[in-house]
Amino acid sequence: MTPSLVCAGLEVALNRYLQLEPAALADCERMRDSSIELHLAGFEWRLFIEFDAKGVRVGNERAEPASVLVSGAPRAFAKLALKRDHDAGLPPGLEVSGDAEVLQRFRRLLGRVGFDLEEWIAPLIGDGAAHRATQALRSLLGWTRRSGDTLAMNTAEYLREETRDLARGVDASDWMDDVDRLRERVDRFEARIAQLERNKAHKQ
Amino acid sequence: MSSDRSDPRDTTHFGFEQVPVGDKQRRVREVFSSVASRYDVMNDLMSLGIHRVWKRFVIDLAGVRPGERVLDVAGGTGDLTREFSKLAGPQGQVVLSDINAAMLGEGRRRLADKGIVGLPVVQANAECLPFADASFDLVTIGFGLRNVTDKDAALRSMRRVLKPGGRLIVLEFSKPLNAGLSKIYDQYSFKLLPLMGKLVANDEASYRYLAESIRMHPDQQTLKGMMENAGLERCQVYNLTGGIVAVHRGFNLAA
Repeated sequence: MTPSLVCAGLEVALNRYLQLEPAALADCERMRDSSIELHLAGFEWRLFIEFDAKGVRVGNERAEPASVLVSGAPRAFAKLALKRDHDAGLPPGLEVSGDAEVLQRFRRLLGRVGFDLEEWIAPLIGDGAAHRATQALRSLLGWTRRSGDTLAMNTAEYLREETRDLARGVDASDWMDDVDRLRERVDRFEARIAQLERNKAHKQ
Repeated sequence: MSSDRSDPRDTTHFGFEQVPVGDKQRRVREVFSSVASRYDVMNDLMSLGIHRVWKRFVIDLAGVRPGERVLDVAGGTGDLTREFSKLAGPQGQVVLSDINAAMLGEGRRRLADKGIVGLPVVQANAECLPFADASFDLVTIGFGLRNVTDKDAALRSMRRVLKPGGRLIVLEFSKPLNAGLSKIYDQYSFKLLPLMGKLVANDEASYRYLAESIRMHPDQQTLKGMMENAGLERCQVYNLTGGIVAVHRGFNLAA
């Protein structure tokens, strides 16, 4: 059985997230009759998410089956949680059975919740300071992201051009095409040999 | 009160001792009147400060939202009340309730020290709460249920005052899940705890009662069954610190 503290942790995290958007609670209320079962393969944990006007409840047992069952490895659930586009399809490795619309509604609900850092810290340090602080943080995060991208590009170029440990994309593509052509020729050659053998057997 | 209606020959436990049902309430009152002024210091000493983590878990699990009405039964020195009051905000209301006047006085004083004033403080027996049906979004009872004479009546009473969809959270000592931990815990409870009570609060008997009352309290599954019998649904047990403490939560889903 799923440890109850895991259920509590997920419930507290989801409810805190949903609390950022008051309209999300109205959506939870509308989903009151729906429920979602998450089955984490490997751990064999089952978590049941139920909805009410206060957010969600997460338990480890339920008398009736849930509206929808989502089953997969923890890694697949992690990919689902990190996916930005909540209208896009599910990551590979997840199986859904039951009313998939319930899962889609929940994903859209989570996607609608936004987190505005400036609004959050403004009561603490004032509007002006909050604006400048969030701008500075955005600049810092942007610089970090750009630096990370540049470092990744430079490292990849060094491994391709200097040490030759990695193939260039275009070279790898040419090589794959050559392999495909060779495979097709071998297949044709094999078919011709088979045909010659059949002809020889027929003449004898 | 159920104790008033009961047969005077009926007995119940007071720690390991069997006492007439009508006597338990008085004797529990004497214990808590005795320990009230040093209750929080002793809690820190007895639990090595972990009681703050247990209470934090209850606060997080309760997820009180602005505007909600909360009842803290057996709220004692008001630890939970204080946090709930911040979360419920000016639109909400938190009621601190306890059967013991000395504990309530201590709670009111501590809340005032923290700048929380004007909060309703009600001396009430958990078995027959003096509130209207369906009047609270959340009811909590922290380390109080084991001292109640008729626990079933208290659970029914707390469910009665919950709004539809409201939740009851019970924080209470329980049964350790591991036999090794249980032995260590026994030694600690029956040898070290009364000694600490004697040295810090000069009251060995009261702290011996606290240890004994914990052993006489229903274990996790029994209490869960009692909550279900009281009409609560989706009951869930959360074991903390190896089951030394358990949080039980149930919902009043009846419309």
